[in-house]
This record gives sequence, structure tokens and C-alpha cells, in this order.
Amino acid sequence: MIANKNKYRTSVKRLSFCLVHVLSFLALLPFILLLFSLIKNGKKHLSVDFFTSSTPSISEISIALTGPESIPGGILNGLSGGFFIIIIAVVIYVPIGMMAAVYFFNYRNTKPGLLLHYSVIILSGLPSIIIGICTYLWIVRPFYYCSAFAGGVALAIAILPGFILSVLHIFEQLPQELRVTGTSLGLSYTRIMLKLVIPYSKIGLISVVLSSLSKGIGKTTPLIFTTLWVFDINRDLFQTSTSLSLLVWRFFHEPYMTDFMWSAALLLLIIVLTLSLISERFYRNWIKEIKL
Amino acid sequence: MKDKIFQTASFISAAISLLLLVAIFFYLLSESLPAIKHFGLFDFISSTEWVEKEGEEHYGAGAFIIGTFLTATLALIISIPFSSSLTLLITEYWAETRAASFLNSLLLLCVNIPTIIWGIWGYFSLRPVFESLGIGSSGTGILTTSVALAIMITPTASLLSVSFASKIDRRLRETAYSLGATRFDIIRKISFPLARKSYLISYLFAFGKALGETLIVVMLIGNTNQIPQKITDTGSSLSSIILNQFESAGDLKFSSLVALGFILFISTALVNFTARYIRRVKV
Repeated sequence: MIANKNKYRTSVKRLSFCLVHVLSFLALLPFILLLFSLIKNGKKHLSVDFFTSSTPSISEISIALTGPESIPGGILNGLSGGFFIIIIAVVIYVPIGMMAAVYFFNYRNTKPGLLLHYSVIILSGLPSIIIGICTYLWIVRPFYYCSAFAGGVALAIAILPGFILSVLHIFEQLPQELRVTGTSLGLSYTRIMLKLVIPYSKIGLISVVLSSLSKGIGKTTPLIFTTLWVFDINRDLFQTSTSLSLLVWRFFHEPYMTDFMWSAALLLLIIVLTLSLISERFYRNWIKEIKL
Repeated sequence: MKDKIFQTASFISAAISLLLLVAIFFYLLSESLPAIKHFGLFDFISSTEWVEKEGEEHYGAGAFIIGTFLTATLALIISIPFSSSLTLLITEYWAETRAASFLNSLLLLCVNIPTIIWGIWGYFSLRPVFESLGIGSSGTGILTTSVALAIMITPTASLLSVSFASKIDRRLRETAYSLGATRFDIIRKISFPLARKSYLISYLFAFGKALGETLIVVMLIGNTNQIPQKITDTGSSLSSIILNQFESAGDLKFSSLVALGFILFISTALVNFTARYIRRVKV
């Protein structure tokens, strides 16, 4: 009887062990396949030209198609436009997000704090298409055209809630004694935050900013509604612009541009993954330092 | 004085999120009122027709609501075994080894992959597989979309549940081991009951993410304005129809599209609110 039961337990244990490993491997398989197909399809177009010239216009494409040469051009307009958009977004969300996190760090358990915290959570779960529509209603429609500025605002709104929660998480990793010490020394609230909490979490904050950047660069849906797309490099922030992710979306719809799409996507993935790797590195080092 | 300014500034920054939420709510509501008035709230939600012909315009959300919830639910169902295996691997089988922390970092990378990249990968690599199996119209459809969505949400769901599950006291587990429990016994009798709520929260958040996903759905669902009869049919979701028709929209159609956005807003907000609320209540 007991031997039987033991046998049953052992086999269940073995079965669950195998099942968990196999399923986990299957779950990671798409990631590997994705990397594989992006590198395979994207690498052939990555050249110097790809980084230094703008997207070909439709006439340029049709001329190139009649000749033996491959389609000229690159994604420089996407890189420059995307750079402006992300800078605008950073200028908006980093200060607001930091200050909001400072508030939540101190007042999260009060009634208004709780209400605001709920709204951050709900905002962080909002689909980016909603943010795209709303920014369209707020900024694009009153002025009648899409712009890098509108894109930046949309991106900032999309990143802000996640950023607040991550900064708050960083603050909460700090040892409790830090704040207690500050208070017992008679330091004011402002001084505790500015001289103790923020300096101690500097590296952690850098890692959070980097990871929010890596999330923001890949966001496409809010930009589709607010930024549109151009062939050339655009320095005017209040005119239509484009970004790397928007270019991927655009190339997806255009036949003959599939090669460009893969290369742009590969580049986008490389940027995003590099940023998140660096950010994680920072975070790990910081956590080690804090826990010592 | 300086204290006061700093405090006020931080309060205002925090209040911006509530302000944004309220502004989004009212703007979406006021923009969708013309459509709701024209068709009636109940008819708009339940009607499944989407006729664009001038003079006979009729817009209803039914087909898209069904499409959205069908794809998201299927995606969740598909992803649960995979994401919970990953969670178990990190928190139980490989707990506190280098491999586990490596896997954790890998999942973090997966979470950060932009959805547009999952979308094009789904379109060019996943769809042909379904096409060769004869599923959907040339590979697109509800099932393909759900599989792609499941792939996207699996890392999110497992990472969230890992972060909750790692808070369980290790001593409980060690006690159980010393009493002769196997790993499976521990998962079934200790880890799972204790982490039940955290699994639920993670899956709810993942479900919310799947509900609102746009690009993957647009690329893979087939974009037909019909109610899917079976899971291999093509269809449309709330987000995909908005993205497809936004540029060419006249007044009434624009208002209807915003109304679709409003429905999406309410449903994702409810899902996320529930998830956050459960976290507060001790189960």
C-alpha cells in the first residue's frame, strides 16, 4: 500500500518536472525564433547607407524597380525624428514621474495617496491606442496637423505611469533606516528626499530611466495617431515627423520595402535590448550596493 | 517655505495621473456621445452591423467586442500553462540558482520587445505556419491572433507572478522538505495556495494587456467586420477597427470609433482596477 503510494508520488513528481521544463522551453522558443528570423532577414540591408540616408519616396522606389539596382535609401529620418520625439517625452515624463514617485513614497497610505495610486495603476494598464486617440483629440485636431511634439506628448503619457511605479519601487528598496535617521536628525521632508533618498538611489534611478526609454522607443500605436510620417529629416518639431518604429509600421504596408522593414525592426530590437540590458546591469549593481 | 513648494510640486505631479484619467474619460465620453445618441447606447453595444454606405450608415460595436474578448480570453487560456511553468521553474525548480536569474533577465528582455516586432514576426513567421495547416483565411484569424498575443503576454504574466511568489517565506518550504515532501507536493500544498492570489493578479494584468493590444491584432486578425463563428474565422477587435478606419472617418463614424475606444477604455480600466483591488484584499 505504502510502496504503491510512494510509486505514485514519485511518478507524479517526475511527470510534473518534465512538464514544467518542456512547457518553459516552448514558451521561450518564440523569442529565439524571433531573434533568428530578425537577424536572418534584417542583416543584409544594414549598411552605412542605411544609417546615413532618408527613406526613399514612392517615385524613387519605382525608378529603382525598373533598373537592376536595389532600392536606395535608409532610415535616417526615422532615427532623427525618433530622437526628437523621445527627447520631448523625456523632458515631460522624467520630472513629473520623479516628483509623483516622491509623493507616493511619503503619502501612499493616506486616502488621497491611495486614490492617486489607483489612478496610476489604471493609467498604466490603458491600451496605448486610447492614449493615441486622446492625444489626437487634445493636440492634433485643434491644430490640424500631426507633429513630433504631439508624438512626444503621447509617448510621455504612455510611459509616465509605468515610470512612476518603477521609481517608487526603487525608493522602496532603500533601507528603512535612511528615512528614520533623517527624521531623527530633524531634517525637513525636502532635505530627506533631496539629500538622502534621491542621492542614494541615483544608480537605480538611472536604470529606471533607461528601461523606460527602452519601452518608449518601441511604442508605436500612440505615434500612429499623432506623428504620421515623412520622407525627409524634419527639424521642425511642430510638423509631421516619424520614428524608427513608425517606419517599421509603414514599411510593413508597402510592398518592395520588406527588406527595409526587417532591417529597421532589427535595429529597433538591438536598441531596445541594449538599453534594457544596460538598465538591468545598473539595477543589479545598485541592489547589491544597497543590500550591503 | 521651500518645503511647502516641494511638497506641493510633488502632490501636483502625482495628481496629474488622476487628472489625465478623468480627462481621458470625459473626452472619450463627449466625443462618443453623438454616436451613442444617434444609435442608442444599448443598440450601439449590441448591434453587430458596420455599414459605411452613405445614407445608410449604421455602426455597432457587437462584433468587435466579441472579437476583442474572444482573442484576449483565448490568449490568456493558451498562455497560462506556459507562464505558470516559467514561474515554477524560476521560483521552485531552479530557485536561487544562476540559471533562474538568467531566465529572469531573459524574460525581462522579452517583456521589452516592442509589440510591432512581435506583430511582423507573427505575420511573416507565425502566419505561414497556420496557413500551411489550413487554418483561417491564408493564416489570419482569431486563433492566430490569440497565439501571437499569448506569446506576447506570457513573459509579462510569469514575471509578475515571480515577483509576488518570491515573497513567500522560504522556511515553510524547507520545513516541508524536512517532512519528506516532494517538490510537487510543495507546489501543490504550499506554494500554490499561498500564491493563488498573485497568480490571479498577474493573469488579470496580462489579460488587460491582451485586451488593448493593437498592432499584433491588426496584422493577424484578418480585419473583417463579422462575428467570428468559430475560432479559425477572421474578425476584428475594438482596437484593430479603430486603427484601420481612423484616417478615413467622417463625423458620425469618427464618433462611433471613439465610442469603441471608450468601451475599450472602460473594460481595461475595470480589469486593472480589479487586479489592483484583489491585491489589497487579503485572501
